[in-house]
Amino acid sequence: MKNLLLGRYIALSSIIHRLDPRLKLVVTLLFIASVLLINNWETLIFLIVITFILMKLSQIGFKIYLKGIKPLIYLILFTVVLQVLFKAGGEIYVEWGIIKISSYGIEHGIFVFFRFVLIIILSTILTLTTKPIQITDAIYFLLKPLKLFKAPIEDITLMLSIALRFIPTLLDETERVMQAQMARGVTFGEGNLLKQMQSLTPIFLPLFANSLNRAEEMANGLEVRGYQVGKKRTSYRSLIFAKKDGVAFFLMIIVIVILFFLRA
Amino acid sequence: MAMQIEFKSVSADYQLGPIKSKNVLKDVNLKIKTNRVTVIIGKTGSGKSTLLKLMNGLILPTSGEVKIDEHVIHSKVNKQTLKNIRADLGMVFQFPEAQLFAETVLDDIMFGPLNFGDTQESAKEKAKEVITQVGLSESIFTKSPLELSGGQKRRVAIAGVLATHPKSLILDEPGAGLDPSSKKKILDFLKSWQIRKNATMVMVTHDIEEVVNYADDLIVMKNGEIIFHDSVYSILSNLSPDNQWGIALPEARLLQLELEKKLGFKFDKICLTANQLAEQIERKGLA
Repeated sequence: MKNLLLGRYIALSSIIHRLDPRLKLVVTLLFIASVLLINNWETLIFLIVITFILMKLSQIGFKIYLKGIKPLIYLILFTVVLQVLFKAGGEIYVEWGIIKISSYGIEHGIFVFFRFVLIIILSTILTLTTKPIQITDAIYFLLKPLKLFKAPIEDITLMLSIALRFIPTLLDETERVMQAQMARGVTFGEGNLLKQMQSLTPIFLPLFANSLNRAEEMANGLEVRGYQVGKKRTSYRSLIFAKKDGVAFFLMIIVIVILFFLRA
Repeated sequence: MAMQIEFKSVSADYQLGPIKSKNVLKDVNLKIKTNRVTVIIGKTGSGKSTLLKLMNGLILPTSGEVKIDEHVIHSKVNKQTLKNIRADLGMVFQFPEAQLFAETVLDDIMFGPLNFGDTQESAKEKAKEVITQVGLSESIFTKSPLELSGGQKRRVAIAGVLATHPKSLILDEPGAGLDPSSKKKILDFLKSWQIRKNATMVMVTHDIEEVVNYADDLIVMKNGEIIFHDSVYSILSNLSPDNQWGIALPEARLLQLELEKKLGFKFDKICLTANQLAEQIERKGLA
């Protein structure tokens, strides 16, 4: 459980760590969008190189990024296989009923594989280099325009930051409950699908019950410390958009422009 | 039947997160005496819980091996061996009520025995047997575990482990977070269970009073190493109140030392519990 990268932050002081979180969030979203622009080998290789540079700049080892991909590898491979088997076009190598393995299908399979991997790595770069609280601040900033429509932005961001804060706690607790049930003779990952699903009940029920209790305690804790829904809030953390952020944003624009040129 | 629990130069890591892990146990050699209550004390992070989890293979050693009777736990042990060990070695976690999940108390207590291959009938028999052992009555069977009080939940959770008829019992702070009277009740029935079954029991605690009242042997851990392992009496009787290991002494011993200082004489015997001290005072003719 503790191997999961979800919601974890690694404290370092690389250039990526020090960028403005608002910028990182926007750039990540743009990047993910541009991954979807991949439609030929040039664009693919270009984005792989850019992602590679970003990983290097984050000073976080490649092994850790691989850990982020690992839990999703079956989903990725499943999608790739579907692409290869059912997308026809170009030269056809094998034909068997509705299944056609073609040059076009294989090419698309490779594109889909790398799209997945790049999206995971890019979002992992964001979460590994940015404190959850900074991400929340960034989201708050980006949602601000919605205030015009009287959306409760403060409450949304508070909920978000609480949710993010509890991810590691929940993972730890899942591990504890799992161990307790294992000591009572449950074996996970054995038997048929139904059996495996059944073995999850003894984990999720206590987990939900405990989480509800914790939510109530949390709510009481907020209330006694004077939290009121809908009140205007201030923050002691101020975000500063520095020169390096401007440079980073400019580079991002260049990357997107180049992508449009490389596209088929 | 008594169980042999033995550690042979065991080292283990604790996973702190996706990247970091900490070496918490360093080359531990240990043989736990059978048919006795052994208590482990030590500061937070000294490796107590890791030591317990190694005993039933919830954590695997990075090197060395843990021997439980004829079973051996090493870094590449198979699942069946672990299941066999877990069937014999009951484990009660810290705040075990967090594992309660079934609709009724009865179902929850039967959960363990059923996992280890009991039939419905025999699991039910075992549930009936243990519920009285933990000081509750069968009328609680139909209730939901979630509507019980804190002390009751704890007892039901422990009953769920006892119902698997373990040969030995491992407990991680069984009394933590309970009011003093519930705590005492739980420790009392655990002790009487241990005596009746003539079982080996290993328990982690932070409370030195629990040690002197319930334990036979004591293991003191520090930074992943065992610094003392002997009978409770021989370890504690040689310690001064301001010992370098920061081990607290029981109230009775502190009072005894204070009396000796104030009254200017020595008792014949070092006392660790109130009973022992009262006896000594009586013998001295002070009362």
